[in-house]
Amino acid sequence: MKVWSRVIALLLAVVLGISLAGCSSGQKPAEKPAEKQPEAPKVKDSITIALQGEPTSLDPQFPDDGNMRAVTDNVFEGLLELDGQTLKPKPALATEYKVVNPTTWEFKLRSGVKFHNGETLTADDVVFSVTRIIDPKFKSQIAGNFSSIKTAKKVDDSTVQIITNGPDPAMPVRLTLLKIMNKKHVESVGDKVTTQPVGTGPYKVTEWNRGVHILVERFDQYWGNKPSIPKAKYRFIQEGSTRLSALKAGEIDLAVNLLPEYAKEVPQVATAEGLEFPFIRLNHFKGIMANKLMRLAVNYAIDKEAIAKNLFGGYATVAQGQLFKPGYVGFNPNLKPYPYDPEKAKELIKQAGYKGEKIQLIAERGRYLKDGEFAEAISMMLRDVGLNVELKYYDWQEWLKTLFNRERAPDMMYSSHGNEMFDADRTFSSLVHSKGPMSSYNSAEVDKKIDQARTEMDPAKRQKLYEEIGQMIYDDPAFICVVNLKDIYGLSKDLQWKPRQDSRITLYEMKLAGQ
Amino acid sequence: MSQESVAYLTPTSRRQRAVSALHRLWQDKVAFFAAVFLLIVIFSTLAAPWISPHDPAVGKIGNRLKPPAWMEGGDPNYLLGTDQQGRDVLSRIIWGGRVSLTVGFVVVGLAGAFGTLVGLISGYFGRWVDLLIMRIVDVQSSFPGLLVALTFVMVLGPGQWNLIAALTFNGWMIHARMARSQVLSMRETTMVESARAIGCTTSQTLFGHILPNIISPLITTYVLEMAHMIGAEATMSFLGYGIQPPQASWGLMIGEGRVYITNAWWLVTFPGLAVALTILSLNLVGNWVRTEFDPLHRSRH
Amino acid sequence: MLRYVFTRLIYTVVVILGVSLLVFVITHVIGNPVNVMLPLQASEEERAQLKHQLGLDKPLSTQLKEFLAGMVRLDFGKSWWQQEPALQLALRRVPATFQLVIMAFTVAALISIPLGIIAAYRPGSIIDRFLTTTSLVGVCLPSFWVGLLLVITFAVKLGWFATSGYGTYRHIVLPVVTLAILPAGHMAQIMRFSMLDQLNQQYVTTARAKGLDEATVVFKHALKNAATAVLTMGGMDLGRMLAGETAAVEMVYAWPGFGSLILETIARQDFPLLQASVFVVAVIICLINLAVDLSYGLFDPRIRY
Repeated sequence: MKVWSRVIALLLAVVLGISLAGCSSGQKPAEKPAEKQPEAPKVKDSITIALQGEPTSLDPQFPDDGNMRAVTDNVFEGLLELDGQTLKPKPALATEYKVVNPTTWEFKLRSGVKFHNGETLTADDVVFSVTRIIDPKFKSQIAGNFSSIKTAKKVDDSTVQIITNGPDPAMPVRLTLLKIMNKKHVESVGDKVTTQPVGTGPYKVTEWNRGVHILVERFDQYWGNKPSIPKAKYRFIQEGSTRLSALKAGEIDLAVNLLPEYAKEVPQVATAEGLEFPFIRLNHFKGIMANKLMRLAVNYAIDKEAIAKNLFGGYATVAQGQLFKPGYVGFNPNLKPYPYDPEKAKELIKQAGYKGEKIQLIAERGRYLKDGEFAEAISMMLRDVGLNVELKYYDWQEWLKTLFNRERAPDMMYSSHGNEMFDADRTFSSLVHSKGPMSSYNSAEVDKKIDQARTEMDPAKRQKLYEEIGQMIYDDPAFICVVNLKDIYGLSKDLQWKPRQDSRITLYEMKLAGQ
Repeated sequence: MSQESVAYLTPTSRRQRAVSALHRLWQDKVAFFAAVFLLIVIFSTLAAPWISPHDPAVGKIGNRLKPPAWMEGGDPNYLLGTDQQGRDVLSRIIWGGRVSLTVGFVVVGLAGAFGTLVGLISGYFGRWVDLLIMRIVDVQSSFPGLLVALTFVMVLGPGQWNLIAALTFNGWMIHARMARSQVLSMRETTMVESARAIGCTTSQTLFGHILPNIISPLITTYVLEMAHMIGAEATMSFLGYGIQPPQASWGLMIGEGRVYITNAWWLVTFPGLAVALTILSLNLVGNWVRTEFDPLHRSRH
Repeated sequence: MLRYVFTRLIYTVVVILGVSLLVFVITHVIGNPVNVMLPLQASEEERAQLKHQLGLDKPLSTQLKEFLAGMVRLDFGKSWWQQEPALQLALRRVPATFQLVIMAFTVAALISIPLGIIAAYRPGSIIDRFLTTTSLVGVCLPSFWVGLLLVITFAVKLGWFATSGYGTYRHIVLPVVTLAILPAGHMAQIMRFSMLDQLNQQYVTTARAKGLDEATVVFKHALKNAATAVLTMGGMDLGRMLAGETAAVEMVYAWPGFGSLILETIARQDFPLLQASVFVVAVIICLINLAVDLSYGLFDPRIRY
């Protein structure tokens, strides 16, 4: 008995050991190309980009995933693309477009465009791509961007019409987000479409070693300008300080989302005004903040300059009394940030008859740059003017539930707004319209203007409506608008790149010194 | 060692024993300093409201990341510098000790007591009792602790006591396993058999005979788990499921400060030192207590 | 003995079933995946629609039935984010963590156990004090902090190893060292104390009195009896590491392992992937527990099955 037990125990241990060893050796990544040494050769033909996380998929029509877009923005293209600095749509796969009637848009396709698998772009591909993304069965996480599209139809081999449910003036911007896929490829590979991307972009994906890296290479038959950098490797480094270390050690050439404090340490910093506007949503429906005087007071109580300068180390600009920056459709140039005036704030609080009641401020931590510290700084400034603010951090789930449930809306709520459409409709419809999913603002007059602007096809009239709305929610505040964050990129010495206003990481616009 | 134990074998009164124990503490310099350090830590956390130089929750954003007073750019008002919100690091360490020590002691107290009891029962009775208990232990310890802790906080809401509940719920299994494994090797020894033979009740056998004989590895486990729990509090707090700022805890300070590790080393180093020295002292003092008061060890002198 | 192994295997199945039920309940208690998957700006209708597509509007009992039926066939469905079979995705992450954990654990055991024995053999000596102190300090330092310090020193300043990533020895040394510290400290401490206990037991004195040579006394008798405690602690540590405690270290070193997968899937509320991952973890840990339980008998003949 005893002998047996030992033998069996030993056997088990051996089996377990072998199976473990088998696991770990069997799956070792396929013979990797010789590891690049820190001392790079004289002329590099490849750069390494460190993203914050691994893309969930490389099907640009499926997830809402910034890590994926960092890769796919170089691999896929839309009918139109955005100018990186002015944020205006410009031709890409379509050379021109016209509005046939308020619900019909017609696009002329560029000729001679090749996909990475050698196929030529046709109207069928475009129709396929549009219908694929709006198909409810496909469950695209970004389908919401295209909810106004009813269908697409082929006019001839190089002409496509897109039909909308109602007038949709924001259609050109939407189309910059709708990437064109190759019909034949998608239909033939099935599930593998998530790992085998075939686009028309300047780079093609050559290898995806899960968890380790994605390799891309210049696509020789690309229709446009030939990009300068032949090859690139994407790595996934979640921890900010590790990205910094890797950049300092010369292992990577571009690190995204660095902390402002790291800027001094990296070989080269590049910044641009980014998409994110951290702000405080005020509860206009009920509670203490329903009082307009209180909402004005908190706007005067926040030292926005100090937050931009100290907390974000200068890598933020004070928001212009709105959640837009110049270039967005609906930006109101007449608005100015509320000045920092604690005395005025105290006076307004007194007028409002505030008696020291507890005021809730709900925030979350760990998603956005310095989100926790931002909320803490806000709460300290509000306490300084005599408000009894209770700051609570919810975890992401709880925070989302609170954000979307008006019944649970706290007096104040930290959130961060990033508008990828650069169009005021998105912000106003969701955050200000009384029926918006994240809104705690209640004004029939504002609602009416938002509805009206959404279908207004005349750009000038639409702009005017948005400016009026902007003024209204400034005078009777819906938010505390604080700052607009800059994107901070760390670059190696010899990499040249000007970051874009739309936060896209455009490999095809980068250059290596000495090339 | 042997000379001491001769004196020890004939204690005439409890007082004399205590005096000689303290005397040996004084002779064991390391344990002595550990005890002093521990007393200072406990005192300062208890007296936090009176001795902490600043309000731990209030800071000026313009004062952020000031180095310790003796460094260039330091401010004598902030001895150990300021944190990312311009709050005084020293005050936060003093206040944070309250939270961290409470979490450590309470979690290990609860989880240790429960786990040890369950492990004793499981190991002693064997059969279906053992079977059932060990399956529960298996289920729970095969489960990602983070997920369990997260569920707790989701249902109960974040905060110090809910964190303690979550960590206790996650932490008792190791004590149960430890106690059980020790009982298993004790159960069949002559000592236990003779205790049974002379008619000791089950609880007498368990607590009077078995427990004292296996207590040494258990105490070691408690101290190690204490360290582990203070670390777990750090991780949980950093992920947002634990201590809520502006409240401070050592773990939270390390977790929040780690991103500034290259430009503001004092944010992690001082709370890190506080944790390390406290655990170390605790263990050294624990060793001394064990050798002095544990019947098994005493008889060995 | 064979019967014991057989019944233990049956329990393992029971445990795995229990774990799976628990994960099902937990995901449905905490989860609201729809909010995570859709952009913040999405409308109510879009939310309801996605809920329907994911099958989350079915009654819970139906969902549970489908889940269990799938589990029996080892089919957890497709990951909601990655659109690939969840079990495959989970399994793909296992080797990297295994590599890391097994290496770290081996290093830890090789260093800590001999040191623990030496320390116990000469209690109060310099070696003993040094060991006690360093192992304790090691245990209470948060691993992410140690990791960052090692990266800054050995990768950035000295350039001996890579800061992060996966592949060659340049990548694995630092994470292994970081990860080994905790179990090494644990095992050294436990080894020392239980060895000390054993060496003070009657039978050791008897054995010595009988004139057995010291090596036999220490290694054959005392060590064998002291091993159970170390095994328990070691097994527990191994399990904890595999169940995701490596997450912080994996994060620091951008290691493509299981811990970071679990963190990601919790954050994304990807139920199929989360369920598959927990299932995989449970199976692995159950096997380890089984091995530990069986090996008690190997070291301590007093334990009968």
